[in-house]
Amino acid sequence: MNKRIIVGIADMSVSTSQDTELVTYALGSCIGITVYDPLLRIGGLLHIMLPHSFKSKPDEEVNPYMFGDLGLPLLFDEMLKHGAMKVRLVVKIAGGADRMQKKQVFNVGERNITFVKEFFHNCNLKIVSEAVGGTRSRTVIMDINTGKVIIKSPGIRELEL
Amino acid sequence: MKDITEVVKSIKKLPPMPAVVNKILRIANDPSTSAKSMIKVIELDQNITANVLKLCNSSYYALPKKVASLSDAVVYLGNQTLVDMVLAGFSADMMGGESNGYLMKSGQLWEHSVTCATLAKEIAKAANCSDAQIAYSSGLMHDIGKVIMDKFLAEEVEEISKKAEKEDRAFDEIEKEVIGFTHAEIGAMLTREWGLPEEIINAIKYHHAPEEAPEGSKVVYVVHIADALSAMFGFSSGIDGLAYDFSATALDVLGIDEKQLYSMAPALIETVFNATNMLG
Repeated sequence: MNKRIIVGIADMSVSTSQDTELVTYALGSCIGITVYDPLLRIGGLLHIMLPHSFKSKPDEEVNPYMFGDLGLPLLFDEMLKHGAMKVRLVVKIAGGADRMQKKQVFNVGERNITFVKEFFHNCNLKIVSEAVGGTRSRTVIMDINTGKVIIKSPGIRELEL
Repeated sequence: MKDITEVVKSIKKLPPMPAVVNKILRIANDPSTSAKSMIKVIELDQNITANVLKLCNSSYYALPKKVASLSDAVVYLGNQTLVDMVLAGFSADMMGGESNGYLMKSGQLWEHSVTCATLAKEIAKAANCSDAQIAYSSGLMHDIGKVIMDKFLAEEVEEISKKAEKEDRAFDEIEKEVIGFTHAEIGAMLTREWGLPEEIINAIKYHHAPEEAPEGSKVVYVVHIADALSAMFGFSSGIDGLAYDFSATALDVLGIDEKQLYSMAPALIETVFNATNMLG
């Protein structure tokens, strides 16, 4: 039985333990980003809520994992610190659901997806697989030993990304 | 299609709302209500009193000394927090179970409800609504109909979910088509039976279609937005997920712009975590 490390909302974890899986529960509009170095078998999972960071008050300390623009670079840093190499990274993303709407308001999911895709495009990294958009909530489970990423949503069969 | 008289039977079978909760809801919004009269009401119910004291002594509040009585609790926490606690404790009893119809694990419906209530209160304040307490209560109760709806849905839920996805239509629209009524309508019937204030009943009934509500109350829009935000941030993990319409006018009616809501997000999430940890 694998050890389970839970990645909360606006949270990140990188692991090198082969007997571990990283899990983030019930992504709505948030996005879960998994990166994996198959050679060294290092995996990371980041759960962001919004694309761009801001401060409500000038002296406020923000949680960088809440935002794509601050969290994604930290995910890379942490992976590289453990010896992973950028060229080997396998990137997968899930989440970014939205309410149904006639007018483009409150589309945090869509804006998150756009941001994350642009970010990886600018890094010259391909997103090899994704389960994004729609209206379902998604749980992401990543096996550090194999790099396998599973998506679970209520009422449908689980899917491997 | 299901028979609505079956729903009425199910509602009658539920235990009635404790008189204390009902009374608290009625006096909570009256500024002339004194702490003393509030305590007198709560004291009538031993379970609720014990619940409130347990919450007061939880690590979340980190109060300097042990709270042994409701009068101590009021001194430390104030009237409003006391009311929130009474309601949240009651809703945990009602909504804490698992749902086979909406495929939610035990505690998830309640967690969604507390999240929505907490967000509704903050959004009401941001929109300068005078009735933040009604917004909290409405947010807490908005999905209470799911408790009844659950068993009517169990056999048909996959069909409803597939149809909603295939036809790109809202989950409650298909609920109405297949079952004959929606969880929002059932929630309104139930809370009318309990004798809750009309404003809360309307907020429950129209939380997915605030434009259809009788004019005048902003609370239904507040709950609509709070419900959407809860789902977006992952506090709505049932099979219906985010598959509901978002009103094109809700933000305008409240005079809130989208950015303002996002800028509240970090603090909101913090408040929600505290609330669910404290009560969980």
